[in-house]
Amino acid sequence: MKFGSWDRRLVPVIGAVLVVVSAAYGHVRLAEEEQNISRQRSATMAETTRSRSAQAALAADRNYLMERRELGQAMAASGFLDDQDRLAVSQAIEALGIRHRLNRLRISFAPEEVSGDRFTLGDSAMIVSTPVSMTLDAAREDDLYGFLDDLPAQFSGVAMIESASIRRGAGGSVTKAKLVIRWQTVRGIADDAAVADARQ
Amino acid sequence: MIGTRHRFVLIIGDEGATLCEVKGAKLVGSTFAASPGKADQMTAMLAAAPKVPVAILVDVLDISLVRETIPPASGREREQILRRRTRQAFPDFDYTGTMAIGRENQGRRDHLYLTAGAAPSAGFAAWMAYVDGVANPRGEVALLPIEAMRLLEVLRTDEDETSTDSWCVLVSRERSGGFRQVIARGGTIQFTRLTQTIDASAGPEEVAAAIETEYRHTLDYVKRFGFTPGDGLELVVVIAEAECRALETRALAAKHHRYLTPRDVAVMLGFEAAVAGDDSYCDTVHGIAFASRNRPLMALRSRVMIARERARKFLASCYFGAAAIAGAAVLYLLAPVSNIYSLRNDMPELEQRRRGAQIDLTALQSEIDALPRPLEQMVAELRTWRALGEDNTDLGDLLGRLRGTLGDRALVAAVEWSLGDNAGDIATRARRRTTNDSRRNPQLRVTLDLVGVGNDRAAAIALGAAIEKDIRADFDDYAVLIPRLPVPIRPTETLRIDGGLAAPATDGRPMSMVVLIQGVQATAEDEL
Repeated sequence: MKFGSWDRRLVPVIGAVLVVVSAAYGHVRLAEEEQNISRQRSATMAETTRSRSAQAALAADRNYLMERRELGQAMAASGFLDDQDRLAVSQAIEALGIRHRLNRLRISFAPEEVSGDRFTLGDSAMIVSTPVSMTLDAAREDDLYGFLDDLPAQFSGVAMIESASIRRGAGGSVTKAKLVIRWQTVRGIADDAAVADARQ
Repeated sequence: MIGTRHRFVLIIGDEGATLCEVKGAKLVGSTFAASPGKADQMTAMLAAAPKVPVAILVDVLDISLVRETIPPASGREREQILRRRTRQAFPDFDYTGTMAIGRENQGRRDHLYLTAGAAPSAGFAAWMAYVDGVANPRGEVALLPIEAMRLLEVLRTDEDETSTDSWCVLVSRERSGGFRQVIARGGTIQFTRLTQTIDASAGPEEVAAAIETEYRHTLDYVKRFGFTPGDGLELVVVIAEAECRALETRALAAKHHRYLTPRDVAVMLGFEAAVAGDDSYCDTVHGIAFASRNRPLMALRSRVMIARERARKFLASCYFGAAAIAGAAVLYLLAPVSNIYSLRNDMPELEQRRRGAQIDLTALQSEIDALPRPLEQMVAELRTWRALGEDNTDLGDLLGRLRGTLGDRALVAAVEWSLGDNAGDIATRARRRTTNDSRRNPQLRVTLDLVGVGNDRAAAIALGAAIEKDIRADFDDYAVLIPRLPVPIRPTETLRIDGGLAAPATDGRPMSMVVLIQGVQATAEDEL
């Protein structure tokens, strides 16, 4: 066997070295590419998940409203979403007292209490709560009970008798009563800011 | 085995060299030259096929054989020992070789090797330089006496050739060297002799006499190797036809005699037309016998050849390593390619999902943007409304129910009403729910004046019991307690009786009892 020159014999070795160097370089570049694609893929998947989660949350709330549409209409009709109109309510109670032949009726609206509890309302709205104290005398207890039955309907929103003390006079002559009514409505945060500005 | 390959075989002796060109089972041609300077025809033959390798059979005078015993060891260690001993045995020889010839039958079963070398000489060196000077690549270098052992396997008639007592002597006449004698025992060469050639014009009787003389000398010499006249010995002589006839008339000491012409041997080897009938030289026969083998029994290698062999092995290792590294590098490269492929494969689907989710979200968002107020606020408002509606226990309703139960049996004298812990705004009540206090706790305390019982205690007790029973039945969704009966008749109470004629009919007040109605009904557990 004749031996060729060293450079010819080293061609495969040099070729292998070039292959190794090329492979190493290619591997580095491909690893970077792989990392980029992985990052892009993760970002895409995360965005998809975020979109789906947001969609699910919004859809749940929307469905909640849709399924209770009649309740929402009743709520709106009750004035629960409106500002509390003390004058109108007091006039209505006064008229109710006359209708039930009350001897005497005193009404006192305390300053409203605003609570923005996040448990129920989150950051979007707050509850406006007003204690209303009433003292009344009735000649007949049936008049008093009729007044009590009709009283909550005179308020917009929700009104409940928080406490009551009723005493029947001797021989059933006069029945006296003291009531504290909790009157509640809701107000949006933005609306509350507008109310505050208006008051200033 | 006769192959189909094409090769030259150059038999180099002290008297010149013979070149044979063998192609498969056919002798293309042969020529003899006394020296490289007179080898024009030989050079022309080689130049006609410059890519055909030239194998060399050495048939010089000074060929030395040495038997070596190597203790059991690994192949690499044996090779090292053998190389060292060969250098010690033939320190000045350019070409040496080794060949395994078996193992000892007893003891530690040492390995047996035959080492051989061709002593340097001017003629031998000149012919090797001649071969290096031609364009043809150099093939194997071998010793003619060693390779003649294969020829002997074909020629001898003694079947038990492997017996240690079986001796055989091959005598052949070469134009390039002279009379070559190969003495073998049990199929293994013991020693070899080359006797000077005689004049080409010598007659058959002279040749026969010379062979007889040298054979006798060989028999004397072979006794040093343990040969006894009782051992079987076969003599094979390859010479011209007339010389065979002359030799047959002489009584050479041997168990078997076989006198053959070079043509007879060529025919036995399968080369029908290789040798002419009157050819008295055996060079061509050795040439074609060697050419028909794939590899020599013992390849001679010079120090340069050994160095080149090492370099070739090293280079082969480098090539192998380079190929392996290159393969590994390619695999190393393919790993991220595979990963990228698999990652990219489902990217369009992921992107499509992302776009779908985005579109759905945008559509829903548009729908929600059309609502009168923010969705979150509307949901909160509705939940609050629901909670208030569920929790609102109405005093008017309760009193109406109670009066219905009482009828005209009792009058409501006093009422104390409290929403209790249920008082407060919806936020407070909602917080209370999170502490598992799911009970409404309104409390209605009513004082009842019994009607129509006067001062009759028994009647008051009976009426009180009836009223209690009816209230419990009608307010089974509430907890009903009776803190005070019309008459404190219970064992845990203090009962005072103010009797006698002077006792007042009543204390001025009607018989009364106190009823406590507490809201214990669990609130709805559904969501706010």
